[in-house]
Amino acid sequence: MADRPARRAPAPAAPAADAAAVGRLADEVLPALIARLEASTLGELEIRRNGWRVRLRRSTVDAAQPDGAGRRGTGRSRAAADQAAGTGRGAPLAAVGPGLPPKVADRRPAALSPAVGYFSPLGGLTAGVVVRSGDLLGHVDVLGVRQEVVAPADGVVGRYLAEAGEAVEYGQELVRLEAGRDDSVATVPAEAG
Amino acid sequence: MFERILIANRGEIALRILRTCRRLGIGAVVAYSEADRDTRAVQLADEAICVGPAEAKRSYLSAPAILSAAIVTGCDAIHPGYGFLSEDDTFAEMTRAHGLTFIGPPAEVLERFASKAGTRHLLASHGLPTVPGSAEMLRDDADALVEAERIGYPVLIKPSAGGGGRGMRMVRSPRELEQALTVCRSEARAAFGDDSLYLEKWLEETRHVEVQVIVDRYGHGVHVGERDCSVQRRHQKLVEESPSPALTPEASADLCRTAVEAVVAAGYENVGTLEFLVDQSGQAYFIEINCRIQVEHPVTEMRSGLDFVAEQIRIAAGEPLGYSQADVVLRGHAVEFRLNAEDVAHDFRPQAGEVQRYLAPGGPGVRMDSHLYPAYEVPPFYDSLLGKLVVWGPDRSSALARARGVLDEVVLEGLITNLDFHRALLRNETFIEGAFTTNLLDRIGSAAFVSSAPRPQAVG
Repeated sequence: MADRPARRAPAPAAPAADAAAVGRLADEVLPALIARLEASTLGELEIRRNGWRVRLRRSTVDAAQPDGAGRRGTGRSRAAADQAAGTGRGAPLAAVGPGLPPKVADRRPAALSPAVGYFSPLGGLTAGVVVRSGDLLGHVDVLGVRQEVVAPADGVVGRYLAEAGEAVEYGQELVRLEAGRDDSVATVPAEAG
Repeated sequence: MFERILIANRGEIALRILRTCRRLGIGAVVAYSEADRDTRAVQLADEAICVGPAEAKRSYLSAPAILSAAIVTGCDAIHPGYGFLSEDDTFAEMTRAHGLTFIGPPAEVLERFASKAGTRHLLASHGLPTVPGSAEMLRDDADALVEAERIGYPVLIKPSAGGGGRGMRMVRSPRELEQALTVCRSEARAAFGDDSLYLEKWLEETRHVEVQVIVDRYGHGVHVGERDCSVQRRHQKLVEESPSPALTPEASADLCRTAVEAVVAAGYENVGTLEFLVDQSGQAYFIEINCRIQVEHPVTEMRSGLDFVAEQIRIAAGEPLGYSQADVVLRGHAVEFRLNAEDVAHDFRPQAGEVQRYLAPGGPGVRMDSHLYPAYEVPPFYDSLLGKLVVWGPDRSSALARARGVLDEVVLEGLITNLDFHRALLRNETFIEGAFTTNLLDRIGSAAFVSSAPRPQAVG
């Protein structure tokens, strides 16, 4: 298949004339869509107009939810997968129940798993510790090789979304980061193992 | 027997493997890349686990990611499907080292058959005729020129690793050879991480015929007839059928018997396919072995009633074959049409995008293996196979008649596909007569050919 051109989505070219349309989309359409998604119980919303397509997907992990609820160890359990199938595709609805609109906090960054394996948080790293983007937060053990879990942004360590020793999949949210403050009282400790 | 199998593949074959796991009562975990979160196999699996980003090298081709996924989900075996890690002996060895079973030939068998040139030597020593070619891997350009001169132009440049036409070129002169070597090396390196090449005599006007074999670890083997895969474009198969319209039943029986005897003698194990070129005089030349399930295996399943994924699993689990050649009964004629997301009118350019409508055909003697559903988004990162339509009939003409009807039933909207190509092919005299060779598509000129296809009547 290498004798074929590289496989890429036939992306519509974005000529300069469309720049205005993109701007309008960002300023007017998106805020309205976000509001509508938040007011609904939908997991995902998609609109198409003039060849453009916008898809919004609700974050699947809610801060108010207990760790690990709604998912089973690794991957997606049968139930969650069925639910996704039932909605055609997209995020399971379980994460955000009716009457529980997503909070702004949902869009806080989280450190993601770099690989499939077993998670081990950095010793001594507890909620409230101030971290900088790129700081080490833990490891995922892949066949005995440790892969680093790093902070995706500056912030304060919030709740752990996976426990020590838990099997995690690639891209899984592991550590929630809260908005940081300048008058930090704690910093990342040296790795304690 | 295994309790839980990790399916380390995607698309239609992941679904195909999952169906057999269900039937056998084995748990099925699907390993998927970020781009495949919404695939049918992920939805149907007992558990699904994301192993990496869209880039295959970091997901489906990553041995550590796949193994780690199998371990953390509690699987005791890994089915690699086709492509990706399916013929990787190092991966098979790693799998064993971690206490899991690789569903396919054991690592040492894969290693023995890993090099195409080595395999040709090995099987030639067990009685299979081979195409004249370079004795060893080409050392450099000068070596290639000398070898090509000795074999006689035209010659085919082939990579030692891999398949699917990548890194392959036919050249008719030293000048063309020199130019093509660089391209083939870089294609082979990019696709397989190995740029060693060899040369083969290019046989004009040949058919591609392959023999399906099943061999257990105790040295019992059977063949399950042949498949003719001569409808190809640049070494990509588009239509496969069984039996071959080019072979008499006696020639077919001879070829299949010779093939299975050779691989059993050479110590092959599990399900495999031996590929041959058959020239106009009916002489067959062995070219390579595929140590895995093949895309076109349903053609043979339709004729034999066997489930090749189940056979792979049984043999990998150490079960004896349990039947003999006399028990393998092949009935009627089966043809498979590969439905691809590709624009035939524009050099078969691969397509990606959302499936807006999809209706599968049905009825007696019809099998559709596809992972599609309406609103599924075909990602641009992998191959363009959307599904395989397989039809069966008591003989070739009735199978083709049935195929004409069901191809017109297929509704697949939102993407450009090669459906019209297949519709046109089923009305092409040369194809209907069965007297075609692998250059059929070059001769008819695919774009003009497709534009001549009758449009099906609107349905639904």
